[in-house]
This record gives sequence, C-alpha cells and structure tokens, in this order.
Amino acid sequence: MAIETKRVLKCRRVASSSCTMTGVWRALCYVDGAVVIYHSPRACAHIARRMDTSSFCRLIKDAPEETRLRSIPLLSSDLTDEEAVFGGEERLRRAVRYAYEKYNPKAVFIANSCVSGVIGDDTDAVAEEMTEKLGIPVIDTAHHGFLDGEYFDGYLDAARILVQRFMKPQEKIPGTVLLFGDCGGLFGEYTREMRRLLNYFGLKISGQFPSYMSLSELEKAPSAALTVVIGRSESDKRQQHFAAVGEEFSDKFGIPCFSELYPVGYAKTMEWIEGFGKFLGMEEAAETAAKEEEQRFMAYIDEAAKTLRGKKVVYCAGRAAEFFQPQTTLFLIEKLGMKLLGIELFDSQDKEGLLKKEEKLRALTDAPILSGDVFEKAVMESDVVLTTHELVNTNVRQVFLPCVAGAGWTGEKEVMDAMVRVMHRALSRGGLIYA
Amino acid sequence: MPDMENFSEFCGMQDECALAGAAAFFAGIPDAAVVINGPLWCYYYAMRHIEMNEPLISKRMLCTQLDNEAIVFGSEEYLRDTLAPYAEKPPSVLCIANNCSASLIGDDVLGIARELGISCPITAPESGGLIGGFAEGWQKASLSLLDEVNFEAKEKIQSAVNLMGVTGGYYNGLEDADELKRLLTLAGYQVQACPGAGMAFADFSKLSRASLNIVVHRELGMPLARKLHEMFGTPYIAPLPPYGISGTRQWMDAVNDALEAPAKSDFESVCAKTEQRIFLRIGELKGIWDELWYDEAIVSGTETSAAAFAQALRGEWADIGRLTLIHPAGKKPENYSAADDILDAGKDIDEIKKRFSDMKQGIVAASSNETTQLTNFTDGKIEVFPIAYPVFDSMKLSDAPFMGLRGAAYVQEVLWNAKIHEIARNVASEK
Repeated sequence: MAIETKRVLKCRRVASSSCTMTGVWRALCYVDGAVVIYHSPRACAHIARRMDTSSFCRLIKDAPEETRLRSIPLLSSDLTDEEAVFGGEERLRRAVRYAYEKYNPKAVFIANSCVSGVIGDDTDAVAEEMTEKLGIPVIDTAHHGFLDGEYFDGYLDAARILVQRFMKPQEKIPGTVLLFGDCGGLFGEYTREMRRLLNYFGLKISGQFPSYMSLSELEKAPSAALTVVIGRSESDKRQQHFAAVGEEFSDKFGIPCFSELYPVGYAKTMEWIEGFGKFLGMEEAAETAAKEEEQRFMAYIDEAAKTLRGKKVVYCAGRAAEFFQPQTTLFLIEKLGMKLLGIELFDSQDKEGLLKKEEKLRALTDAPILSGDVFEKAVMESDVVLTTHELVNTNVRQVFLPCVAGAGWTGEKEVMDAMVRVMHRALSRGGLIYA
Repeated sequence: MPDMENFSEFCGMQDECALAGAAAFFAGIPDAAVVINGPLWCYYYAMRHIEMNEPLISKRMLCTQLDNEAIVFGSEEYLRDTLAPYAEKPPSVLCIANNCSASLIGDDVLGIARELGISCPITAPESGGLIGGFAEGWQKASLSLLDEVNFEAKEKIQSAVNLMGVTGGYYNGLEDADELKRLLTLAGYQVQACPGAGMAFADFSKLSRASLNIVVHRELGMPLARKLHEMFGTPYIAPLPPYGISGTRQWMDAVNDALEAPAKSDFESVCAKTEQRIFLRIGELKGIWDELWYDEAIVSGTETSAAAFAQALRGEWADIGRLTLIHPAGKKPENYSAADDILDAGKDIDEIKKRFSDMKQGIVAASSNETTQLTNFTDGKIEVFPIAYPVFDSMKLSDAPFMGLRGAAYVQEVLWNAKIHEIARNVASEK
C-alpha cells in the first residue's frame, strides 16, 4: 500500500493563507470594555465562531483557566448583495450605533473584510464620524480580510492601536515584567514556561499584552519595570514587526525591552538565558539557570534514550520552506541515538521552495532525501515516523510534529514523550500521536 | 432597543457559510471535483467542515489561492493553473465555487474553464457568503447542477421515491439517510436517488423517474423539490424528519399518504417490534435506575433537525422540566408546541447566553458552539448530545443514525447510559 498523506496542499504562490480580521479579533478578544465589529458578511463571523469553539475545547485540556475568561462581543455588520451594490457604509454606521447602545462599550473596533475592501467602503470616515457622534473611540483597523495582509498583520495593527490610544505613563513597579505577545495565551504552556524561566531572575509577570488586559488595565500596563517580547522565531519577519511594536511601546514609556531572543527549544532556551542574563546584568543568575536547565534536559534525554536508542526513524517534513525548522528534530534524533533512515519533503511547494528546504537540510545532515518506493520501504522498515502531515496508512506508528514549537524545551520533551509512548503501541494499532 | 434592527453576534452563529454549503453538496457526489475560487483561508474553513464527514476530501477539493492581485486584475490565471489538470483528466462533474470577494469581481469562471477544454459538465453556483449560510449555498449548488443532467425520459416508476435535502455536511447526515433508505425499502419503496449524499453524477439522471420527492431537511431540499415539480410534475412532501418511534410512524404515514407504500405492513411490524423491545428493555432498567428526567433541556441545531429532535426528546425519550428550542436566526418553526420556549439564535442572544450560564442540570442537544457556552461544561451534571456540527467534544464512530427506528434505539441508549454513569460517578465522588 502506497504511503499517502491526509492533506498536502501545494502552495502555488506566496499567497496569504489567513485573514487579518481573525488577527484583530485575537488581539482584542478579552479586552474588556471593547466591542469588535466585523464589517463583513455573516459568514466571516461563522469562521471566528468555529475557531473559538475549537480553541475552547483545546483549552479545556491545555489551559482550562482561559476557558473561564469571557470574550468581548463580536458583531458582524451582515453585508449582503445589496451592500455589495450600493455600499456598506450606512450599514456599518448602524452596526456601530447598535453596538454602542447595546453594550455601552468604551471603544469600538472595526475589522474589515475582503468584501468591504472590494466595494471600497470608506470605513475610516465612518469611524471618525461615529467617534464624534458617540463620544467614544470608534477605531478602524487598517486591513481588509486577506487582500492586504494576513492574521498577524491584523493582530499587529490592533496591538499598535492599543499602545498608542489606551496606555498612559505610570510609575514603575520593580521586579515586574509585561509579556508582549500571545504564544498560546496567559494560561498556556509558553507563558507557564516563561514564568518559570523569569523566576530564575526573581521577576514576576504583571500582565500579558495585548489580549489579556481590559481597557482600564491597559492604561496601567506601562507600570511594568521590564518588557519581554515573546515569540517563536527571531528570523520570522512577522515576529520582527511585532518586536518593533514592543520596542515602540518601551521607548514611549521608558521601559527596557528584551526582544532579541526567544526561548523555544533547548538550544535557543540556553541562548535566551545567557542573553537575558547579560541584558539584566545578572550573569551569575543566568549561569545557575543554564546549569539547572542542562541537567534537567540531559536527564530527560537519558531516560527517553533507554527506550529510543537504536530505533529507526523516518522524518516527514512537508511544511513550507519559511516554516521549515528541522534543527530541533535532527538534534533530538542524534541525542537520543536513533537511526535516521531518511527524510521525505512531500510535494507541498514549488521547485524553489523545495530547493531551499534541501539546502537547509544539507547543512545539517547527510541523511538521504526519500521519495516514492524508497520512502515507502523506509516507512515500513522504521519503528517510528516523525511527521508534519498525517499519513493515512493505519499500520504506521506516527508522531505528529507540531507546527508551533513550545517554549523552553517542552517541545522536545513532548516529542520524546510521544515517541516513547508510541514505542509501547502494538504495531497492529499504528496511528498517530500528537506531540 | 425595541425599534433597532438586529446585527449578528458571533455567539449566536450556528452554521457555516454558503461556500461550505455549496462545496458540501458537490463533496456528496463521489465522482465530482470542487475548486474553491478564493483565498486559502476560506478554502480551509469550508474544507475543515466537510472533512468532519469526509476526511480525505482534499484529494478532490482544490483552491485557486487568490490574493490581492487576483482581486484587482482578475482570477483567470489562478483558475487556469488550478484547473489545468482537469483538462487531461476530467472528473464526472466539476464545481467552481467563488468565495465572497471572487463573486464580486465577476470573472467568467465557466468561460475560463471551458477555454481550457475541460470536457465534463461544469457548474459555478453562487456561493459567496453574501448570499447567506450553509443552506443557501447547498440550495444554489443543487439547482445549478440540473442544467448539466441528461434526465431519463422514461416514465415514472410507480413506487420510486427520491430523498431530497440530505447531506454529509450535517452531523450524522449520511447515517440518517441510510436509515431512511432502509425504512423506505422495508415499506416497499424503491429509493431512486439521494442527490448530494453519496450519489454518483450519472445517477442524477434518475431523479426524473421518481413518483414522489421526500424532502428531509426543508432548508436544503425544498428549492430542488420545487424545481423538479416544475420540470417533471413530481409531487413532493416535507414532513418533519423522523426522530423517535412515533416520529418515524408519522413520517412514514405522510409518505404513504402521498404515495401508497407497497409493503406498509412490513414496516409497521418491524416498527412495533422495535418499539416493544426498547420499551421492555428500558422498563427493566427503570426499576433500578429510576426515570430519565432533565430539569432543563436546550435543543439547538439546524432548522428542521432541532425542531424534530426536540419533539422526540420530550414526546418519547425523557421527562423534561423546561424545554427550550433555539432555532437559526429568523427561522422560527410554525405551529410548534413541543417546546416551552422558542428562542431565535439571532435576536434572543442575551436570553440564550443566560440560559446556558444558569443551567445546572439537564441536557443540551446542540453543536459544540452551544455546549462550550455552558458555564458548567465540565462538571458532568449536564448531558451533552451533539446533533449539529461543529462537534469537538464528542466522538462518534459507529454508523448509528439518530433518525428512524435504529436512531430511536441509539439515542435512548446514549441518554440512559449517561444517566447511569452519572449516578455511579456521583456515588463514587460522595464516598
């Protein structure tokens, strides 16, 4: 039986694969006092609803505290064919007034859809007019669905607006840190891990920006003694833009900001600890932290290696070049003493993207790049397949590699745990374990 | 604000967009291909919905991956790229579904596809979110296909019926369709066609030969039934879908009234046996575990399913203190008496939120969109029974239907087991 994946999409262009409106929503969803209006057909709010429902179920397992937070109202201006012909500005005005009268908000944010962009509504003018009429800020965000940006642009835009419009200078509270970014939220694994790392330096998190502060709390956000920007990768352009907003915030309110490194994966966490120690002038604390982390990590490797040493592994890496980060996976395979039979890159990119991925790989390993029958043979010979795309074959033990790696070395820990667990699984059962 | 118009709040969102509805109709034709002319984002969300029932739909559902440039200068090049493989290897039928913004720029998608020399029937239904939700998209898609079908010109088959408005895009939709086919066959009918629910494109030609069209979900199937009436004079009926034993009897009576069943007594005999088996089995366990009682029940789902399910829940399956039916915005059922309160998912959103947050004991038969609004979602005192997508908090792998006789047995089995386990858990936690 040929090896097949459930879903590999061939990206034709560097097209946006997400929508700016959901980014705006994510940045504001718990900002109490605000209301968000999607200037869109109802359909777009369906999607936001579905995303939140799915996320709620994931949070019950991973961060149940967040499920107790109540999101702010999100309305749709319900654009229809009629507005597509005659324009949707009047409908938006009415939606803003409705939001104002029903929810008595301190601010209304407008997120624009691709439809609003195509029909050319002057939403900025509507926002200005309604601000004057209602006496509260009615704020238009810059983008239009997928037309001129993606999720992260919407998120960034909303974050910048919150910094510029709702924060005020405050007296600093020593020992406090404002986390700048989301990465799974206030109760998620990244923030939990960050709390643990900051503890090495005697620092406490005072808040997480942007989604987890009400409009009144935002005013006091600049009381933090330090800003730490969180993210997954320094080389990610979007993250760089977000770090720039963190720097702007810090400059504006005279707060030192650490944004150069992100503690994602063991190697990067060690770099982060060292860099952060230097930044604070606390090299000794950093050294202690690094030693402790190294010991814990190596002990974990030794334990997992008892099950995994010598086991044969195939690595399936189907993600696009810009998200392709094989270092951590290859590092783990080596540290655990596993035998890498080869790597399959899948047909998910154009030639240029594939070449980029191959180049990245060649710098890290001389393991063969597999395809066709050779790949199938390797999969059948392997003890475990580490994969970014679910294989539909039921008789293959698979560990699914998450797109978003965890903070600290939780990502490596989860992959090791999953591999150990999958080794205890009868081959007849096969199937996938999510790391 | 009595005089103000209503705007959709996302907490009240119940269904998917028209794009998902149109794609779901064609996904229900196993030899069809669907091309979403839109950005990846819309494609993914439509596909994620369909994947819940058909996990490998991505093999025949593609996307043109539109960007800003395509919206400004047209999507022709993007369509050509995506459609090119179909010129060589055409599916039986091809649907090109525009997302909202693509539907506004007015590209001649059919012309572009034809120019490529794609030889199969091609259809491009209106499917942007501007036209409405899942049901509207499904309706347009089902109608768009009729022009492409070479209908059999032969006369009608006396006992043949078609099932209309059934889809795998509804939770448990195909399992329900199978049960309805089984029951109709049992009663001596010949089920001719079930468009959009697993029927190959070639079989659409048989639609014309049925003597009766039975609409299961009115919000989906009515336009198609009306159109077939117009084209072939085929009468149609649209009774509430058959949940519970008595609901199933009523449904079969309605079918029989419209077209006499060749073997109604066979159906009645199986019906009576099933009813007695369920009754006696439950009666035996009632002696140990008491009655099935819910202080409160909230039922929310697709337009016809929710109303019919709520009717069976109270009328046949359980005793209920207060039953609330939440219907999709603006789609209040007429002459409906099974519920104490009927709330509109659009207009009554504040009351709906309150009901969910105040609920202490009872049952919620709905989708995960509703169950995740329960404040006491995780404390186990509220039974959750999914009847609509999306479903993220429950696993169903068997092919048991909710409708019909097998459905009546299955639903009661689930409800009773949940009650028994809850009592056992409570006793264990008190110890």
